Formats: sequence, C-alpha cells, structure tokens
Amino acid sequence: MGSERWVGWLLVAPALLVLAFLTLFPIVYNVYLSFHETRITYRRIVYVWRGTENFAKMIRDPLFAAALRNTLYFMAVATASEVLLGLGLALLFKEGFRGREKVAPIILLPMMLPTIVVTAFWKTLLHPEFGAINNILEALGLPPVNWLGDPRVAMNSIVLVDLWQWTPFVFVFLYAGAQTVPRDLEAAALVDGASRLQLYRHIVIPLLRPYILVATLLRLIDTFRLFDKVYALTGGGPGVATESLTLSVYRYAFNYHMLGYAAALSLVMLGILSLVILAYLAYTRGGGVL
Amino acid sequence: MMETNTKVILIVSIVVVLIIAGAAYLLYKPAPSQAVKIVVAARKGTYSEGLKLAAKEYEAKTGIKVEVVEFDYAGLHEKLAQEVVQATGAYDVVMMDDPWLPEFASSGLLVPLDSLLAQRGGVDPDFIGSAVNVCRYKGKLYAIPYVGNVQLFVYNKQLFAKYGLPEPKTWDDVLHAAEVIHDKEGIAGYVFRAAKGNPIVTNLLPIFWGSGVEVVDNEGNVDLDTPRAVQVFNFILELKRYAPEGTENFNSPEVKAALANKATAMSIVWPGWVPNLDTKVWKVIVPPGSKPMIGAWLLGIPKSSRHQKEALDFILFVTSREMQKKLALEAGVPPTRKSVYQDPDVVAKYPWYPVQLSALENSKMRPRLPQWKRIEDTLANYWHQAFTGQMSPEAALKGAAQEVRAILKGG
Repeated sequence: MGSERWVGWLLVAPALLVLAFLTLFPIVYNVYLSFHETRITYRRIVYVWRGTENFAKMIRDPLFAAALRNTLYFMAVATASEVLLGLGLALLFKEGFRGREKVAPIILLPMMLPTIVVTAFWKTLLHPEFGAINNILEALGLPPVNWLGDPRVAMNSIVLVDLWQWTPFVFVFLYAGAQTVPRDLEAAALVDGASRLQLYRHIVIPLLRPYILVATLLRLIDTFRLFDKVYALTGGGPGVATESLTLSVYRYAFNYHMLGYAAALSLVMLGILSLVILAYLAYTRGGGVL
Repeated sequence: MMETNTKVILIVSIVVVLIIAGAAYLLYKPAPSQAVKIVVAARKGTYSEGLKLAAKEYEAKTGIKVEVVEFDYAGLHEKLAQEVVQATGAYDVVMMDDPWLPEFASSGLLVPLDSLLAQRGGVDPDFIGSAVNVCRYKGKLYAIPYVGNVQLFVYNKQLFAKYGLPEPKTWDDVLHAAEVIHDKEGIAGYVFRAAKGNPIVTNLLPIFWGSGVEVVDNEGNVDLDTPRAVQVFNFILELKRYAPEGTENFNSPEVKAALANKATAMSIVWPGWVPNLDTKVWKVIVPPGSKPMIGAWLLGIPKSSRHQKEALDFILFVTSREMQKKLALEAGVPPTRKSVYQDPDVVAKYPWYPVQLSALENSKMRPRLPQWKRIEDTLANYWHQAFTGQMSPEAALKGAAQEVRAILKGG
C-alpha cells in the first residue's frame, strides 16, 4: 500500500513541479520583491531590503489612491450594468420573439473582437469633433460631449465600451442557464395562475441564481484587471481620471524599473480582489439578493 | 494492488524519459546560423520604413541580412528596458528617442562607441553638433544620430495675411493670433498635442522654456513651483480657450488631421509631418519664444549583441551622407548631416529644410537625467490634471515639483 502511494506521488510529481514553477514561484518571488528595492544594471538586479517601505509609500502615493478609486468604480459599475443588461437580454431571448436566431449572432459579435480593435473602433466613434456619436447628438439638437477628454465623463465612456464588449458574454452565459429551467415547472406555475412577472420573480430568476453568481464573479475579476481599454483609449487621463491599478503596476515595473514597488502594488491588488470576492460569496451564501 | 512488473516498467520508463530529456538539454546546441543577421529594434513609422529601405541596400552591398523589428513608442522603450536585465542578445542595433539615452547608457545596456569609432576616423564633423551631443552621456558617445528631429512651428499664412497678423515671434503673438482667428473664422486658433504622457510634456515644455522656466535642469534643479511657472500655466490655459474640442486627448494623428483639414491656424509640429502639409497654406518657422526642442532618434548597439562589429558597420552605412540623402528623398526621414540639408536636390523637394537646419543647430535638449521617463510621466500626470481643470495650476505645479524632487533623491 505504502509503495503504491509512492508510485502515485511519482506519477503526479511532474505536474506538481510544473504547477509549483508556474504558480508558486512567481507568488513567492513577488512577496520577496515587495519588501525590496531593486537596482537594475546590465544583466544584474540588486535587491536592497526595504522592509514595509514599499507599502508605506503606497499610502502617500496620490497615483495609487486615484487608481484604486477608479478601478473599484469601474469594477462596480461595469459588472452591475453588464449583469443586469445580460440578464435582461437572456430573459428576452428566453421569452422568444420573431427573428431571434438572426439577432443573436449580431449581439455576440463584440465579444469575439480583439480589445485593440474594439478600442480603435470606439475611439473613432467617441471623437469629440468627427465622432459618429457626437454627430448624432448634434442632429438631435443636443450639446456634444467630450467623451474621453472630460474628467467627469471619461471613466463612464470606458464603462460603456466594456459594456458593449462584454454584455454578450453575460447574456450567453445566462441564456444557457435559462435553458435548464424545467418547462413543466413553468407550466405548473402558469396553470396555478402565476403572472409572467411572478413566474420570473419566483421561479426563473431564483433558479438562475448560481449562473448569475458565476457570471458576476467572472466579470468582477475581469473588470478589476482593467488595462487595455484605458491604455488604448485615454492612457489613464484626462489627468488621473481613468488611471487603473494594473496600468500603475505596469508603469512602475516596466517603465521605471521599480520592481519592488510594483510587486507591493500587485500584492495589494491580490488582497483587494480576494476580499471583494470573499465578501460577495459570503453575502450571496447568506441569502443576500443578487 | 499494482503488479510488481508493471511498477518496474513504469519507473524504468520515467527514468529513461528523464535521462533522454536531460541529455538532450545538455547536448543541444543551436545550429550555427549560415550567415550573420543584424536585427534592429525600431520605432514603427517613417523611421522604420527608412531603415527597411537602407537594410535592402545594405544586404545587396554586403550580403548581410538585416531584419527591422518594429514597435510603437512605449513598446520600444519597454523592450529596451527588458533587454537591460535579460540581455537576450535579440537586437544588434536599437533605436532610441534622445531623452532615453541617459537611462540606457547609465544602466550599462549600450556599447560606448568612442574607441570603436576612433579606428574608423571618429565622428564625422558633417553631423550637426546638437544631434551628436544627445548621443553622449557623461562625455562618452553611445549612439549615432539617425533622425534629425526638432520641433518646428507652422501657421496658416493665408489667414495671417487676411487679418494682417505678423509672423509669431513670441508666445504672446501666438495667443493674440489664436484669439483673432478663432473669433473671426470660427476655427481653432492653436492646437495642442496634449494627450497624457510624452505628448503633453513635449508640447508644453517649450512654452515654459520661452518664459525662462527650466522645469528641471541637467543638475536636477526644479523650478516648477514658482509664481512664474504658475503664470506660464495660466497662459497655457488661456491659449487652450482657442484650441479645438478634445485637444487634451490629441496625439500626432489628431494634430495632423486638424492641420490637414485646416481646422486650426497654428501648431508645434515635428519634421516628419511637414511633407504632407499644403505649402500654399502653411508656413514652417522656428518655434517662437525659445530654442526649439530637439527630439532626435539615435542608433546604438546593446552589449548583448553578438554582432557588434557588423552592427556598427550598418549604423555607419545608414547614417552615411549618401544613404541619408536617399532616405530623406525616398522615405522622408529628416537627416542629421549638414551637407544633406544643404544638398540642392533635397532642398528642392523640402524647401523648409534651411529652417529645419537652423532649428537643429540652435536646439535645446530635454534634461539629461536617467530618471527622465519617470519625471516626464509625473509631469504629465499633474499637468494633464491642471490642463483639464481637475486641479488648479498652483496645486498641480506644487505636486509635480515635490514628486520630481523625491524622484531625483532616489524615492
């Protein structure tokens, strides 16, 4: 029996080694880095012990404060809007309407495009003078909006682009979930005199809860990593209005060679994301409304 | 219960696989390449097109193949920064914006060229002095100037004539003309290339310089939080009133479009944009108010290159008089040699070249500090906030000055 276990370990050893190398090593190295300052010269990194200085620096760093605020805002607003819109679309498609099969692929299209294409497309649409959106506003007699240049609007414009790209994902996911709701359960409720609203409120949505939970979690994680849209659309501007945590980590690590500080930032990011997810899971398990 | 035989076979197989893999790893040697190939890391655009053209000629002449790998501005800096630590030897020649040179020279990435060039007659005096100066750090030469970039200024001469406006000599002249044209023509008087990052800093710095505010000098003195600097920023905000909507997000393509559409009357420009402008409308001059900012692109050799001799040979070929003339005429690459600026064929095609030569000869460098990239981003963060009304100029300049001082102290 003992020797069999030994063979078992031997067999999984390569997989464990790969896993340790790909997951454990970067995390441990990241923790090590976060307590050091790195001095980079040719072919050489010198690590100087700095204790908790990198973390203390974060508190004084106005760029970090702005990036944290913006990232949490984006995460909350984009996820909530995408899940609500996606759910609405999934229920609409579940109800069925004429031409449904033709509309579905068009709705799914944005999700299939690379983000760099999406941002290039939206940058043109949102151009303050030649953009199609302002042209439409003008035709309707409404004042033009400086979508990416006005600090009060810029982050919402990025939310809008994310909404366009990722609502289809939530929709497909929840629509697949909606197919699992037993037809006889719905029929029974209707026979018992339930209205369509009651049917959705008391039967369909409660049965969709696990799907909504997973979709929300996936979107929370993805929106927290906000990088490419900001990088391509605003570069973090105007001012620091769309600066995100991942963009800050990138700048400190790859532009300024401050690997220690960037590592400390990414550890804090990991902590925040874990807290948000744990809080969300505890809330939903405790019977909270989704 | 596993059969003993099966166990033995399994263990032996694993051991054999590991031995074979280990031996293969130890014995593997990459096949020696048939011929030397030079790989160039370059900024994508006109300058990389020029390099590709030169590469073809070089290959025909020497039989040595040259591959040009293209990156955008930020991507190129990132690749070079990674090469400092990783020393992969992936590139034999690297193209750099001149403010990056102190960073990559001080980090030890670049091969000092003085002694190598001494064997080949030293730096040709035909190169414009200011373009060679940006290739030096602490007295040593680390690169050869490839693109003679310098800020120029254009104005719509038809509109200036229509309203009897004089050619702008100072930034106050620019403001006055911008106001008149904006009010009478209903178009933008002046356009800023003010996207966050390198664009806003390179666009606003000359206005500070024009008023005697250095911002940061080569010794690391910061004079950003002075009443004079605040005054300059208020002037910039006044000028912004006559700029097009969205100017705070404009980068080169947007500014070029504004000029092409005649949607503005004036702008700072870089030489590469000028060939596309209608010379009946636009007049090219040395920027008003201060010495023009040099923004040369340089070619250097990373220490990790395995073909340093051939790399230097290629760099000297690209920057030779004949090739610079060809690249100027066929690809629009601004030269770095006086003789090419004075060449009749080149001047016939680019009539503003005498102005460009004068701008280059009198140009001013951005601070020669290894931390410049971080300082530039810090300035951009604060200036952009003041430019878009999220912060007062006083608060922005004070915040920027404090952070820049901390960076220079090693923070």
